[in-house]
Amino acid sequence: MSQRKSRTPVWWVIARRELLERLRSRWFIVTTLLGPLLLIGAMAVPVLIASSSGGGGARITIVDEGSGVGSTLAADLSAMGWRVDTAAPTTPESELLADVAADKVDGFLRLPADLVSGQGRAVYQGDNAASPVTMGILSERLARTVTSVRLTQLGLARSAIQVALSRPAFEARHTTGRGEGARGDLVFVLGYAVVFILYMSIVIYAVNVMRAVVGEKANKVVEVLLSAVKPEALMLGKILGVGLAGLLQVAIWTTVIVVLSTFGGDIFGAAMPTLPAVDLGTLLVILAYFVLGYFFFASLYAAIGAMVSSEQEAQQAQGPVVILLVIPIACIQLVANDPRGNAAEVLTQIPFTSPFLMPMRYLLDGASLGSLLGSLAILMVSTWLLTRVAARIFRVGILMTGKRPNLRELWHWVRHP
Amino acid sequence: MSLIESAGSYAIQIEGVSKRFGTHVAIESLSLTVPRGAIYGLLGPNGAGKSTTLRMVNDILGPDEGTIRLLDGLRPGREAAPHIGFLPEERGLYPKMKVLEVAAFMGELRGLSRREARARATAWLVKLGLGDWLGQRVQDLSKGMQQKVQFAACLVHDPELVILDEPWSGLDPVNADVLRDVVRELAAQGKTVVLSTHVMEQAEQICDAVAIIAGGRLVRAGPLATLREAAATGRIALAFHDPETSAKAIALLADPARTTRCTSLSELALEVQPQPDVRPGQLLADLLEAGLVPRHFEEVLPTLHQIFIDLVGKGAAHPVRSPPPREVSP
Repeated sequence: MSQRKSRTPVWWVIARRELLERLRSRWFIVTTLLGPLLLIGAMAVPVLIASSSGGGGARITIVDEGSGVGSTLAADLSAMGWRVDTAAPTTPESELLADVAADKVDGFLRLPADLVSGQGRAVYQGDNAASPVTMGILSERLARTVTSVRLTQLGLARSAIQVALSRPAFEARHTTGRGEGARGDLVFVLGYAVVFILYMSIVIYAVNVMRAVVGEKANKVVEVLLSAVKPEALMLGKILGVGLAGLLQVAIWTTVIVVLSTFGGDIFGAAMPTLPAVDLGTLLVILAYFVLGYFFFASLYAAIGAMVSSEQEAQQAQGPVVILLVIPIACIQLVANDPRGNAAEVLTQIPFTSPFLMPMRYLLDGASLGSLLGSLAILMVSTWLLTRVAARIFRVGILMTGKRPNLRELWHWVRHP
Repeated sequence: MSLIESAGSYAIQIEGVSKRFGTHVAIESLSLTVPRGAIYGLLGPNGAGKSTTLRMVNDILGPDEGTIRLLDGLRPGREAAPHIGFLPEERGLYPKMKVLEVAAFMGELRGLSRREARARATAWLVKLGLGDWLGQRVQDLSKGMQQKVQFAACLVHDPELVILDEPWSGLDPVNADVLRDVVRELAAQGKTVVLSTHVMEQAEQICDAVAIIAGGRLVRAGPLATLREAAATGRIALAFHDPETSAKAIALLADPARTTRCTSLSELALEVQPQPDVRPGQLLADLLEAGLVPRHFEEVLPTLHQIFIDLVGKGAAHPVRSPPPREVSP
């Protein structure tokens, strides 16, 4: 018998095959290139929304019922790019509503005669009444106009009124007490981008693991593999190989962010505001949550892949995991609004939300060191437990074809390895 | 390929192995030793437990009871895997991988270094006539060629023990021949080949020894020749040069003192069942004394197929899913 001592562990042979298969695929190349484009898009949208603060040219009709501010307001809004018509106070409401219904205008604003005196109430009705940005602009402009009229009535000169109403410069800087802080909107954009990258890569690659497992069952290659490799090593190898491809992609994407956040201003000029610099500590936190989060969800998906016999079945079986994945996305704003609050604290400790939300919270400087370490510890322990449970399901499921196990059978697989 | 076992030299030793799936008993107290260097057939009807046994030997399943040792003491699994080649009944390849890469990958899983795996995979693939296809994707190959890639993938690490589960099922006739040649060549090199089949003609052509299992239990095991001898009924087939002599011989042999039955098969051939106390040599002596010289005189040994049916039952001999065995010259 020829004595051969294997130098390469089998899980690495499996992992390398998975990695190479992915690196060579067109899909990997395309998503690696498209990722940063999507990212720039994802970052540019909030910037664009913020910069188009003119409300994007809303079309409104002003019905001045004798307030005396209608024409000034119309001129003011028109100067900002709005299209403003005026209507006679006698115009019946049905006619105004008909214009909205026909989409001739977005809405109409009624200015009652006793508006300036403080008795009456200006009412806007329109399809864009739910837009906080547009309504904010409208109410702010209305307030300025009314204030201006009142000051005139008090006898102030026009030039004096302009001085009185001139806006003070304002800038929001995000800080939690350490350092002066970076521009708030940009910090949010960065945090959002990080969540976006983590979410995309973790979900894409975890699902990829599931598909690889299902594929191996469908190709019938799995029995040959299992004669040479323990199921645990097979699962580990697949998760690792697919994950390394994901890590490489995230590294490329992260490099793009770092480059953008460092040189963005130089490259894009004024259109791309300089993002807050990402330091090494932040990168390590992102990396740690990517790796742990990926292992967490990849084990879940690997177990699902082993449980089913076809892609269609896999689609149904992954329902519960998809729900787990929706929760963190639904909760992004909770963390962004109050990074040091209780909701953020809880969400960044729960294992299936922390991989996405903790890096954002960390970026917003909302997490204490203790909170960060606690979250990492919880995630590590639960990922470790989950991979063990998943490995047991994997071991039994991988050889099964036909009927999908119910919860009771699954529990039996887990308890009796 | 000698069946003479040097003491304790075995390829597979199964001792008291049982395996249950829920309430279903797949294998019950199975003990079996496969000597080294043999072409060993694991025979049984569908559902007899052949695949389960081979899966346990390959550590895909663990036995509930009993022990399995391979190649003089190795445990199934990591210890034995580098020395075993396995072609499962459910076989497949990665469709998008290149032919050489997939075969080399299987070798690496069995402990070869990357370079060695590529070199040996190339050698096997060239030998099986796939030299021009090394860089093609598996999915671009015909089914027959894919089957050859599977052989290569299973043999690339030069295993001591080659296990083939229903190797001929789904093979085209040309590849069935290729596989048979490969099996014979492996045996000539002193490797052990264990193959399961429910097609007795296939096993009879190639196996040195067989084990027949049914319902998860061992029914009979041993060298093929020994099994046939043991199952022999003493029936004798005779043939003569001319019908006249044949008729005289029938007259002589149809004597109840000599035979219990005497059947004429044709003008020239007949078959007799001697009385239990009458030896074949005595019958021959009687014939020669009477001047009736047979052209052919032979004790009829039962075929493996007959033995199998006798042991396992008629119903089991007609497998539902297997095609009739393809006849190929040995």
